Amino acid sequence: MRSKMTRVILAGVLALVAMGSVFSASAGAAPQWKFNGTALTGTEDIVGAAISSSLTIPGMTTTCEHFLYNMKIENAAGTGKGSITELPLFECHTASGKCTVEAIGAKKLPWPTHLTTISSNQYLIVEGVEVGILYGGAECALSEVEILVKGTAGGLISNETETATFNSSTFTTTGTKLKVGATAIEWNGVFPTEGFEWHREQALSVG
Amino acid sequence: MAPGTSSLGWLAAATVCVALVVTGCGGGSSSSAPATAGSTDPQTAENSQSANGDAEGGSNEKAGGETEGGTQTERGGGIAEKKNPPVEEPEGPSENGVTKEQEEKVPTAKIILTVPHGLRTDNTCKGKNVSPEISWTDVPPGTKELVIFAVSVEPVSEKLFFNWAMARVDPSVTSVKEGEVPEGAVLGRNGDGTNGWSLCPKKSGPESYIFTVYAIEQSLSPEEGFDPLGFRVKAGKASEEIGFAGVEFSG
Repeated sequence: MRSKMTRVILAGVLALVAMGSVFSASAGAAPQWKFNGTALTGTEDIVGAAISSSLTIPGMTTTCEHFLYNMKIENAAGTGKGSITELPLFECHTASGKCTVEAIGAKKLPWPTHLTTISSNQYLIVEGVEVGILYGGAECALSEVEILVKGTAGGLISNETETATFNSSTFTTTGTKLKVGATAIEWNGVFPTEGFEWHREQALSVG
Repeated sequence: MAPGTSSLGWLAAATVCVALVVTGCGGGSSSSAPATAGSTDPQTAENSQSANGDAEGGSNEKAGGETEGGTQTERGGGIAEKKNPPVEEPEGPSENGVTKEQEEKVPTAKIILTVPHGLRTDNTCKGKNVSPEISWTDVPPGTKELVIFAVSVEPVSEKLFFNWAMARVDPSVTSVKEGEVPEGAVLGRNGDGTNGWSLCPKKSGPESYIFTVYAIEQSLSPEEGFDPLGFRVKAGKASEEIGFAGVEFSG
């Protein structure tokens, strides 16, 4: 009697495990980096320049005319991962005219990245973001202190346009935030993706 | 990051090579590059090949080696036309990050400062015109006193407008309730010429205000009615860490 009950319980457990693996496979197929539809093997460097990018601390927006980036990508354990290794910024200024950008730059690179799927959309998550900004100007409310923008950023990937777009909507969807202290910072940017080394001129997609 | 050093080499190669990729000249593989939309302009191709020849070798060698024998096509099953615009080559050097020397001269926003209820009508001259509640954590050890400022992001009459300046706040204090002045603290002169808090929005739309708390490492002990503009400079020199909070008032 006891052995029969044990067999029933065991069968139930196995059935649950099997069902669980089926559900997890269908619901959570991890997104991967693909070139021309084929999953990336090894690593690749993504290089690009933002089509647009601005950072808004309440009341003041900072824009860089050129925002370049270098991201190393790979598929590790079935998931698209990577790290942002360089982020040179050029000709940065504020919209106010009262504040000058004395210094601005990424800190603590590389920043790890990974892909995730939310509601059938693919997102690029950038962790460990840290940007230091020093504003100047006699009439600037933020001058003479180093502002540290920190946090995690989530951007929507479009396979059609081969871009990653970061805005308040993508931050909300991915549950990510950039902050100075406890103050939320708004970051808007559109970043094209471009294979730079082994997969030049091949279509980059996520899926 | 030290973009002024480590990035420039990369940048030189990257900007040139990305431009080459986008224009379709094939980067390091110029002799064997597949034809793409942008490569039909012989002038562009010639210029790009020349630029490629001048570019740093590391990345080009890799790419060039990889494309020999058409391995791109083998890997990818065809060359897709790129959709994104060419990368413009920036002029001049990249921005310098905040240097160690600059970090030593100015405080860094590390203290966590919050204005938990934001700014309400009662915090303006349309209401009671009392200071909002603020609180903070992570004041560094060794702090002798705290100084608090609230400043309008938009200058008034071309001058920085202080809504609030309060000094000699005991470092053990971690919050100030609405309208409160902690024991021992002194108030500076605000933009309206009175001591204490004042906020009269100048326009109907949203306006932004920056709150800061400075952790002063030596007692500056200003008197009631101190000038906040000059004192903020002193406070900055006497502190390594500040708290920062940006707050918007929508009216």
